[in-house]
Amino acid sequence: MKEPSTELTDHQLVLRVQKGDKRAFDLLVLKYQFKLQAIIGRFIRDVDEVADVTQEAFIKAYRAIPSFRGDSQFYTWLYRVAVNTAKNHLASKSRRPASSDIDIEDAEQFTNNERLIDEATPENALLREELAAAINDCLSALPEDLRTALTLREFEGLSYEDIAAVMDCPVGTVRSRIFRAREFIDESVLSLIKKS
Amino acid sequence: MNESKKCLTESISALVDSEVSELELHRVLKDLDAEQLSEHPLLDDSSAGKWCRYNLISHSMAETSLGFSDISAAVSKAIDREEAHGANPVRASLHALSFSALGRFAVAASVAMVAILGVQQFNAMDPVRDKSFDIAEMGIQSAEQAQGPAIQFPADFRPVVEARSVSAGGKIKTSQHPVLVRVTNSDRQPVDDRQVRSFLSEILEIHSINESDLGIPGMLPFARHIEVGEEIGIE
Repeated sequence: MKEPSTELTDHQLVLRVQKGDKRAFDLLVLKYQFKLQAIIGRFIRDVDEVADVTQEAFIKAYRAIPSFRGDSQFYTWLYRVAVNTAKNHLASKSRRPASSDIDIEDAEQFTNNERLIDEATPENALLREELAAAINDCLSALPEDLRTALTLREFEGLSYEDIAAVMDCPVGTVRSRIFRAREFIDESVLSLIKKS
Repeated sequence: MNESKKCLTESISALVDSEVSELELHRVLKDLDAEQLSEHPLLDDSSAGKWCRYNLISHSMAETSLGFSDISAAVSKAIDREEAHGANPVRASLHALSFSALGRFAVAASVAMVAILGVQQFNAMDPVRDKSFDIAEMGIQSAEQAQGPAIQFPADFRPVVEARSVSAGGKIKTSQHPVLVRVTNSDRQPVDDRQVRSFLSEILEIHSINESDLGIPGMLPFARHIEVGEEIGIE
């Protein structure tokens, strides 16, 4: 089966940024801002500082993006920029970086590390739990064909083509089902975020 | 949600999964550019908001650790103050100009070099004298054809002939396409077939002697097939 990846989108967006399209960089910021905040939050506890350093990390990444050659995944590269920015921030404030440093090579593993999630701020942890619960409720309430399509995509990581083969339907139908499932979940997520 | 917006939002959903074409990506970016990023895209119904929340849902389902401050608008404003990459018009035009001029010069130089080398090679090539050639082929210049070969026909020779090159093979493919030669000379007296055959035999005899002197074995490397009423075969 073909291995799907969001790296293709990242690569397309990076190429566009390198050609001068700033809106493409907006999409990368919108996509990764929450993940990057979580990474920087491992070094810096203050929520406002985390936001500032994340912003700084994105600006550094933008300035450095012409030198990004695509040898590594964009997210791994961005992760390195974020970690270095956080460390520099602490050094400039004469504070030692967090004792349990994250190995830069472990970028992908870090995001799924339960121990690190436990160390997130209580507010973030609560919101994350609420978000997860809302998404689960929505998934349960989805019609079966929509739930299957989204589950195969998000949990199994299958491409649209592979999902179409599994569900015995056209690729366009898969695309439409995943979209409708996301729209259904999005309504709940939006109301949750507004409430928070 | 109208049909156009729905179609665009579906493209955004597919973009989350890297399942869009360049054209769709272009359309999404164009829409993003048109509607401008709001202060809190996470909370609105814009394309940016949809993209942001779809990714949030995706990361959340993957149990990714997340922070929840929406800093995208602040970053976007900061990026707008930065110079766009690869978009310096002066540098770009100079770059384009220099490459354009260099390109034209390179093409002109290449053509000139090929012409010079071609002429040199053509002049230097003497297949009869060059012993490294297994089988020689002799080119016929149109001017030479008009003037007649080195061995001149008799003064009264005035045939209306059709001649063409016949290659006996060889590695060097310098011979040109068959050439139709029509020699007319109104001042000369007509000759009969017997004289033509006799003269042709003389040419072939000289050619055979040359052939044996040069040590070229086998068939005639080159001969002129002259048609005068009937075919003369070359074995």
